[in-house]
Amino acid sequence: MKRWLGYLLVIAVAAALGSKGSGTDVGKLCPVQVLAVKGQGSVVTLQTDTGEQGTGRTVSQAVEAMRRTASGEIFLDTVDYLLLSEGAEKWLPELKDHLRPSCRLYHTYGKPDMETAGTYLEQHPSQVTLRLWLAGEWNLPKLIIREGRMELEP
Amino acid sequence: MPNQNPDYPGELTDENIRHIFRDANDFMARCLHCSGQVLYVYAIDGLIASAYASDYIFKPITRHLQGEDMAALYDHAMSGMIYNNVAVPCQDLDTAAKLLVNGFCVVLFPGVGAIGFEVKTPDKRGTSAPEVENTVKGAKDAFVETIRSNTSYIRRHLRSPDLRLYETTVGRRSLTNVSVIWLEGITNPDLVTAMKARLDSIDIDGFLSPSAVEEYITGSRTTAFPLLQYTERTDRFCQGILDGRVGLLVDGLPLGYLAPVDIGSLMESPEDRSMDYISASCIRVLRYGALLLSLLLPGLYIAMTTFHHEMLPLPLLRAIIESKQSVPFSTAMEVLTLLIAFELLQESGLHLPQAIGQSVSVIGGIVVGTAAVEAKLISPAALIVVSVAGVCGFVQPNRDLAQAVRIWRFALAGLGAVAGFFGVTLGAIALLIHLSSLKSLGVEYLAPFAGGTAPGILRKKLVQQKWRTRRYAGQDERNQK
Repeated sequence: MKRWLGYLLVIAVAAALGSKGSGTDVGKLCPVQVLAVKGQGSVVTLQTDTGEQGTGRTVSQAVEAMRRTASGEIFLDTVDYLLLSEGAEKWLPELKDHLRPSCRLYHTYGKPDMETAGTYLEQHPSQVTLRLWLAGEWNLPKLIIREGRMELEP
Repeated sequence: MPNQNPDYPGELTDENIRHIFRDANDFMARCLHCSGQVLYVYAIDGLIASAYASDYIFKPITRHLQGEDMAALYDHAMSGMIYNNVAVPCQDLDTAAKLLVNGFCVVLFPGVGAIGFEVKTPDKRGTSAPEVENTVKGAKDAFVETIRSNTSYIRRHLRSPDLRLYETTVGRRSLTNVSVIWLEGITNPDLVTAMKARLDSIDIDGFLSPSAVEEYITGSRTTAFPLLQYTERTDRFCQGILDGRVGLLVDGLPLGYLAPVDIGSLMESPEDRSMDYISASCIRVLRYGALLLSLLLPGLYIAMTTFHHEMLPLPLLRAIIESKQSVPFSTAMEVLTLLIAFELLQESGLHLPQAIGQSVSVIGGIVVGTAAVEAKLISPAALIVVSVAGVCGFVQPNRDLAQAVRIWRFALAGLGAVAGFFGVTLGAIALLIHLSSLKSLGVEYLAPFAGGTAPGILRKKLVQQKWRTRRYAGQDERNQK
């Protein structure tokens, strides 16, 4: 019995030492599927399909601002579609630290409805991913919003 | 070491026999006059058949037994004048008392000795179909509580004259008859010797319950994993004997035990040999998958939903998050509570009569489960995970193995809640170390997965099974030409 208690103690200590804090329960997450990036001068603004928004001089600051105001834990590992307004490409090297390399990129013209954008983009996936774009400059497909409707131009 | 002294020392006299069974109202004693001598006949009501005693003991004694003195009467009785197929001479009080409690009628020839005649009552439960290890095809005879009936079933399946039975008594008070069974020329004699030695070293009052048998035979190892395999099927027991294992039968238990045991033999189902090898192999793979799911699924679910969200595909993550809306508890708390609730339901179902047990399961599983989900106390995803793990546990052919997996499932779920995948991996490694340290009669528990050979998960064609497994180091390894 003593030996078993010893084993349990060793396992418990090892588990406690190896744990990444207390974790975040999935119920508290706000998973983001679509992320819009706008750049105005030296300020970047991020907007999610969950309705969160954050602004900062760096992407990290914008993400942090978004986290402070979000109703849950903003989860960017699930971003599938990245909508870039004109000139926002310059933030991509910084964004790669927060997003998966497989998220798909679009240039947007107009103001998309973020809530419904995911459904449309699932049917019209871009061939350019963040990883590809960082490896060499690619032409991004254009997502044009006309009278509230989205249209993709390759 | 067990007590070697007789339990009932003293002279073999009428007074002493009556003294042993004093105040026992089912004890019967009669004195008979025979050729001018007085003989005493003893029996225990209920253990003997009165008609047999009258016809095969009392009638021959009163009509045919003659002799000039007590010694001559004793000799004539032993040589067949009392016609009974089993006549055991006894010269001490201890043997006489033990013959009486085993359904013998003891005739005392004062000053000379006694003879025990077997007149056991034929009243016993007839064989029935196996309840736990039921198969669609295959034999339908299950073990019963009477050891002699069980040995006869085994003899009917294995008609080899090489079948050996070593019988002994275990339990100072219960005097339980125990048989060790093996096939001469096939079973490794060391296994038989080890089994006999373990039985002989047991010195307890009662040897009545399955746990007593299992713990004493296996040496009370600190493990939840079974180190003896039980079966209620006579054909499965005989197959084990043919494979080179040692069998154990205990009077009063409708089970047969087989040793050694390893994880491979515990994962085999009697159904495997009653269907074609392709179907059996597919089902075995499924069974191993179910074992892993049953063990790991709750822990992995907690780890992924608490620490490793990125591993979940977005639609699944969304579905889980949606299902967690308004649930006040963390995923770890939900899963652990549901696991406990599942265990409670299972226990309540076991301790109730079958009809009520089913109702409790329906009310507990479906009604309460659905109500708890609708009341947002638990999420449907957690309920599904625990249910799948539970159902996968029921897939295991050996209940003792499934029981051990249930315990480790809790531990892995707890470690998953503390340290995510790191914790689950740590627990799985600890389990692997534990399993590899286990031995059953000297055979490694993980033997099927050791030694550099391919694990025997799939069932081979019977024509290809030319050799017995080497794990049991049997004498004759050849199974067929």
